[in-house]
Amino acid sequence: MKKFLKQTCFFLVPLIIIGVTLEVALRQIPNDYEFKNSQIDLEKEFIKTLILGSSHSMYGLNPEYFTEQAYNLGHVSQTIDLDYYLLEKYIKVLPKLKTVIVRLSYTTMHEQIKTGAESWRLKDYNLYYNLNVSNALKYESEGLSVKLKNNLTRLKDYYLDHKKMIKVETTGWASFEEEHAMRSIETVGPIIAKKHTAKDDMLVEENLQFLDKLVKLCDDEGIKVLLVTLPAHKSYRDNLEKHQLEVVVSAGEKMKKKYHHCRYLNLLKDDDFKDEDFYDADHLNRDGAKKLSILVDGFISAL
Amino acid sequence: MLFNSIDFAIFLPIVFVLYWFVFKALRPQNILLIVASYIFYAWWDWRFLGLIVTSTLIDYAIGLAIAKQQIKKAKKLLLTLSILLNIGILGFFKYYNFFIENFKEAFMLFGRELDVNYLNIILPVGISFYTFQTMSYSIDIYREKIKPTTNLIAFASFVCFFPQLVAGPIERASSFLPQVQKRRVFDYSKATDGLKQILWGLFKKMVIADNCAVFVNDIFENYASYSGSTLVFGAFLFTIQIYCDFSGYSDIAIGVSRLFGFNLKKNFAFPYFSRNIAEFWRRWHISLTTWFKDYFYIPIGGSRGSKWMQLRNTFAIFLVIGLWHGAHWKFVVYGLINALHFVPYIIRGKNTKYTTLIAENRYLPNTKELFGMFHTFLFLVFARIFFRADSLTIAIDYLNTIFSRSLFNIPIFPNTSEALLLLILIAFFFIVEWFGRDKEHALEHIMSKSKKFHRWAFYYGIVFLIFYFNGEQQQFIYFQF
Repeated sequence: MKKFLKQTCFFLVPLIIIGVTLEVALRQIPNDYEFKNSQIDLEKEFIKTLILGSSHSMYGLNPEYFTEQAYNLGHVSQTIDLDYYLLEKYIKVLPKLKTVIVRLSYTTMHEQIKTGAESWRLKDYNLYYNLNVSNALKYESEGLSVKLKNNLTRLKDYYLDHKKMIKVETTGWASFEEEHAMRSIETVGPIIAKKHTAKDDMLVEENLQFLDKLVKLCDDEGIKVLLVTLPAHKSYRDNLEKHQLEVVVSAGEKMKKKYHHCRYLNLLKDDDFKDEDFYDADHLNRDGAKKLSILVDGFISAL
Repeated sequence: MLFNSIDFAIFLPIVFVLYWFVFKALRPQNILLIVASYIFYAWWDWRFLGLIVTSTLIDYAIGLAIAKQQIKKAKKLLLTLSILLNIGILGFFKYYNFFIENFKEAFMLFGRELDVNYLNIILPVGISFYTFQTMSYSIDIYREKIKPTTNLIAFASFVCFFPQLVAGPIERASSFLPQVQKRRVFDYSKATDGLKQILWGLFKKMVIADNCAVFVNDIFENYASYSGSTLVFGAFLFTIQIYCDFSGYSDIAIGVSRLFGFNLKKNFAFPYFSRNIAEFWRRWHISLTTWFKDYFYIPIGGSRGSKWMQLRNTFAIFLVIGLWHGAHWKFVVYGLINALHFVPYIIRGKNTKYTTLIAENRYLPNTKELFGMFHTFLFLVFARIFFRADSLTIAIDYLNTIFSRSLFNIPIFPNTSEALLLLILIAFFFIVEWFGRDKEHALEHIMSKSKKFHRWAFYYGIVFLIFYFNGEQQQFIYFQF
């Protein structure tokens, strides 16, 4: 037995040392989550509008075009459960908060990050926002939640190539660097729509509860909630499944009816958004984001 | 708890240390195994622990009662009770909705409506494995092949032993109970060999199976938008995925058991190196196929009697094997296709032809063996479409698209460079398996005679591949059965 333990330890020690070193090195790499967490902390006294949601709102709503100070707390693949946890954390520390904008996309009622391929992002909420969004141990570590292949690329990008790792601006908004060819949007639209279509309604009830809790949390504090279904390209929206879309729209309408401070704005088919406003089938580009931000700001001001 | 999770990486050493250093006597060790196994199971869903306990108590009590009973009829009655209860539990959780659906459809054919509601039932993980294990215990006592144990702790350890609780190998009381009832002695070579088997199991699961899954899921979900050639590629990858997923699990289960001084049944004997379908089924999921052979095929006549009887029994066993996998017609069809492929071998009396190792004492197979392997593998690639597709209709559509003109298009993969890399990994995997095909597991003898430095470098290489290529963590496929 002694020999076995000794040999096993000898074999494992180098692996553990490498693992710990990698973990430390990975945690030193700046990232959008850590950046937004510290940025919002700096501006907490002034923020009046908080934007939540996935890449749709992260790229689509630019705080620069809002009359009152806004902050975009959206992240790629951020689902409604995470929106709720973030709001729960920040609502207490944002004394001037007047409005919360939540994206209500085609996928909002049918997905949660923990069940999808992007579940590895849960570690960012645990590690950099200090939220307890998952009890799984692997989400307490950079090294264990992401495959080594991707982590080595990140290490190379930062330590060897000195690439810029923060992709968002100080307002929390981000834009795509390159433009997509329109033909590819037409082709990709139906594929993305299909990819976004859920197999069943298993998560709907739970997500509806998260949405309800989120709106109630604001309503109780007298904070306005604006639920927004963002514009999408024709090639995408024409291929959406009717039932799934109805679930989202009815959730928005239900919240509007139930809570005094809640409004729902459905811009999915808004004709003002042309081909040139889109980066891809379901994301706005820089110009599209400007147009949408001005539109939403006008709507908030009129409330 | 998944074998390929951090939770298990912490759980295993804790149980190992407690087992060998704290609870050294037999009874405390067995109690520890039960507690550890229940924790392992409860990690998924604690609500179904009651089912395991119920199944354990039923067969423990019935086993004793059968042995005590002198009257043959009463013994039979007790056995029937055990089977009915086990099948009842399994049938309720696994087949209730399937039968209701089919009864409803059958009634509709006669213009009547059956007013029975579907139930929202979750299938408890591992139910098909542990109920079969407990059932075989009662049957073996009835057949007087084994004597019942009076030791409830030992029996409970046999039923819930965590390495094989949720996906087998399905153990028999005759081989496993004596191990539970005897003091285990730590064996260095057995334990290190166990670690090697765990390592290879993790490689198969995390590198090959989980990376295949990315392509397979995409291709099967969007089959309508891919060419026939891409669909063949998807079916090929699924054939690899299911083997690496399930045999990877078995390797880990057997390896972990060896750390605790137990020997589990070999569950896979390099089935893709089979020269015909009969040989394949002797090498695939051995613990299940031998279970059905002993408790179903032989009792209904087996290979005795005329060719027609043999064929009838072969179709019957494949039908139940198909249904064992799930309450779905696609599994029935999968079973029947396999049975059909058996027919020519039974008629020509060649179903027991290949019982020896392929290319014995040779490095490479001869042309005939190569052709046999290729033919068997190709058959499986197509048969498994029924296994993987969401429904029978989709499987037929999938096959229709394969046999269209687009079969001759150049396959388009969602990610070409990743696909090529995966093919290289699959080639590496097959080479290692080929050279270990006469052993218990692929890594048993590979590099075993090399210097420690080279041997460890090889193991570190596999560890690196596991971490480097580990795909998105996927549930083991056989957990759903």
